[in-house]
Amino acid sequence: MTERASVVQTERYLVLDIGHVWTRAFLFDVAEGRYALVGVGRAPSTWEAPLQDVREGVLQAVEQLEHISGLVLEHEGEWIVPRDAGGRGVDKILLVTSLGPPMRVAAMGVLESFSLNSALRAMHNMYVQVVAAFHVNDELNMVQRLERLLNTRPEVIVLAGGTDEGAQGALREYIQVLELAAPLFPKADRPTLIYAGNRSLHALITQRLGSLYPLQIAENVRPTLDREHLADLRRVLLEQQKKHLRRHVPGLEGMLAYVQRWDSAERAWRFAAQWLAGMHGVSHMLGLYIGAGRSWLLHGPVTAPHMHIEPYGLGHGLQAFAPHLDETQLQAWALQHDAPLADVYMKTVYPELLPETEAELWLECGLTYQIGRHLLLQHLPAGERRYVRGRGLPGRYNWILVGGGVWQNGTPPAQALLTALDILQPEGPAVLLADRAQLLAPLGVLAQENALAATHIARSPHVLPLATVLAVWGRMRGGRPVAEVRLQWDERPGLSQTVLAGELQALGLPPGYRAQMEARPGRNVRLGARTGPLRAEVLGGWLGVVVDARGRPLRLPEDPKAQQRQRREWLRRLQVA
Amino acid sequence: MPFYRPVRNIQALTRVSVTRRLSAPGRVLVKPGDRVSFLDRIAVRPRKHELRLLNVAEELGVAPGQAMKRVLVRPGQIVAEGDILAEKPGLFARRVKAPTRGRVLYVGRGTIVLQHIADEEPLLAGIVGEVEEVIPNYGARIVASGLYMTGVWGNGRIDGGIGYLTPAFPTGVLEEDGITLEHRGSVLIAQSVAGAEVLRRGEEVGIKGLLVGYLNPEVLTAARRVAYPVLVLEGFAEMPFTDAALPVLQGLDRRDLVLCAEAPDRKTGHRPWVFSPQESYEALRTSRAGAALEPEARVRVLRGRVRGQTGRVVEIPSEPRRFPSGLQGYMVKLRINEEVVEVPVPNVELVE
Repeated sequence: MTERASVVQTERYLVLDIGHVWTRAFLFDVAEGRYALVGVGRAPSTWEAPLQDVREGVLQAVEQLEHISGLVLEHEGEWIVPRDAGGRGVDKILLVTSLGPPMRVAAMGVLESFSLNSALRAMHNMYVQVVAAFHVNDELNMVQRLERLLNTRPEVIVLAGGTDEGAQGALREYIQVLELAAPLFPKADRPTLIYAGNRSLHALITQRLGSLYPLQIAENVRPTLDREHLADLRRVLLEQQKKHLRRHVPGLEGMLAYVQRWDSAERAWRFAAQWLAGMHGVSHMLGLYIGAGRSWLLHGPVTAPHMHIEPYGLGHGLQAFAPHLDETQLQAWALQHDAPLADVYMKTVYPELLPETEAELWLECGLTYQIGRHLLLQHLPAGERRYVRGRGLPGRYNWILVGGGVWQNGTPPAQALLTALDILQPEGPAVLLADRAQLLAPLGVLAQENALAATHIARSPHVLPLATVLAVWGRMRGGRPVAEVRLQWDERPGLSQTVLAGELQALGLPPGYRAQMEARPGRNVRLGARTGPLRAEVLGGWLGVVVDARGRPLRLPEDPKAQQRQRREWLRRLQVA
Repeated sequence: MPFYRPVRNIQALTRVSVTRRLSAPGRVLVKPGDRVSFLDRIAVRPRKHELRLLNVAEELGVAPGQAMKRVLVRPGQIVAEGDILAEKPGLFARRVKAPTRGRVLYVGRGTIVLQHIADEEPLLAGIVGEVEEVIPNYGARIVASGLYMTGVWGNGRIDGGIGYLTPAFPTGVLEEDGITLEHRGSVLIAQSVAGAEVLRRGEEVGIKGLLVGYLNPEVLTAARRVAYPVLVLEGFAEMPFTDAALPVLQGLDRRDLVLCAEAPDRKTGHRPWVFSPQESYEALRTSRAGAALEPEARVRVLRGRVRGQTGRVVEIPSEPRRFPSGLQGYMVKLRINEEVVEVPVPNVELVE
């Protein structure tokens, strides 16, 4: 029983997740020797008018949690940390945040393909907006550089370039630009300067720019031509990002005195996604999160996935997404809705609006589909993008995580799965896990604090797959048998199914179970990325094992009404299963 | 647990305090106590920085340290094209002249940085009132008394004129031929418009503003393009005027109206507004941007089965409930036309 929580590890954690629209409070505690999620409280975030103080929303979410758990966690608005003798309070408060505007950054590097790109790479996984980028071959003169710096109003300037002990000329020119720019920024809005270039210029930078800007020195991002060192610049940028949030999110500063660990939601989500994938021993992963104000795509090897964050979302993020919105396609998703576009615009003004009716939920699924497809087709590597367009998500992505909007608790699981399948169109067999409890970001920050607690939670029913998915594709005619699939688990009689072309068929394999799957394709038909029969161990999920014989790429009727009918029929079949 | 919701202000006579703020630092042109009208510029900022870097030391042929002693201008000073900025007197006198009209931004290190004044973005008062407080570099807070109504969307413009209730008020849509030359200088009030051509017709005629209950999303692009303010009070689908708004709107005919049709900003609580100045010597209730839901409060439903309708809060159940969509959350019981319905809490706003 090495995994039981020992006496010294039995800490009670309150994890606060403050988002743009909602604030959630998660309570983790030990029960019967294992960490468990005790409850979740949720309240509207209050960083905007009229309250303009995040603490009110946090307090409301915690009050709800107290009501659910029967525990006392605060007293008259004051946190009880650590737990008192009477068992009131928590031992640690952890925080994840996903609100506020992106941090505006200007990057200055010597060569575009070396130091500038390294500086920009250090900003991956962070919610930043690169407002200007300079390099020696950008053909800008000093005045144009000054103008660009002033017009783009960065909050942070990253200056990188030169290998250690290498050339200094270009950097000296930048120093001159920055000297001239400093007095032109209003004092209260002067950006922070982060220097991450040639080490031999540290003294000069400090001497000439240290009194003009709040200055941070990070290790050189390119100490040698063949070596890239991003960790230290990332560390400094993260500190700046926290400062940026303190400045833009009223009330946050007042909370931090009680918080033991604070991370951004996207970083924590990524950490949890890697953690879960690592637990299941997979090599590649794909994560998709569609929030209210920001969305992200995570893809690649589990050890070092790429992350792309965009200011798109189902709430105020719709404003940024509006130029990419395909109105005709949206109407096909939300045909029963009498005014889908009007609803979209209302959501840009009132991002907290919830889908009350079925038609409104379909509308949210349609928006999720469009944002998800856009992220895939914008950020996957070129070869994979072509593959996604022409066929579907490559088979190596056999571990898929989706979270946010329509994948939360409440959306019928079949509808959540159908939306994810239509966006991703995985070849499979792939495990598709939906973060129904919005637990991933809290789990990520918890894992950094207490790995054992996170391991226990990761094995709880809150983090179970929606389904294992296998695509059947090739030359198929609607309604004809195209494959035979058989599942065998737990000494039970096997479960066999003839798969019909054009259908979505679910084979009931409960969550937590593993089964041997044997599948035999018909003529001119493939199973996932393979030709010929398939034998694989598959994981159960809320919807079991889903065989998607709709073909790849998914082709829907052009007529919106027919498309909507088709989608509803697929949903009905999944629900029946 | 209190549920805070934004307030839709519909007040025939109130005291309002509005914050007017530039999006980036600039110069504030007013001081506390100043009376301002809606088109008065209270602050300006350069739309775009266009700089001229003048190397004084090089031009005068002196060392950088010496050059600064020859400079005749100081930061903040406005200079005209050709003005002398620095001079070395003597037999072989040399001068540095301003290459353009501009503001001296910086003097030092042997240089003068001059900002070309081409185009400045003004921040207009947007209301008729008195400056209460200056926000350094950004703007001011203005207090005013009069009629004040907030809406959901604006095309970013500010203007004012005489209110005119069109035949498309309170129901119906304004057609192109419904706008004639006699409407020049007026703020037209209608439930909605038939299409983009109506908006363009308003521009041809020279109307000063358009106040509508709703706009179809298809005409939003055209609405953004017209030069006069377009303010949407209720929403983007067919939505009737809120019953609380109707009597107030009826009183707008032939009254001086200001439309501050700027985009809503959730962070500050700023919403586009209609204002009509009226002096009052009574202690007025100050309008607010948001408040907690309470029984008997008047609310408007923004989404769902009873979208666009107004009602009174009957009860706020303490446990979450399941919506018809399958989602779960807190709901509020409303009485709408003698019928009690449940609506998700986030889908309502207060009407005051």
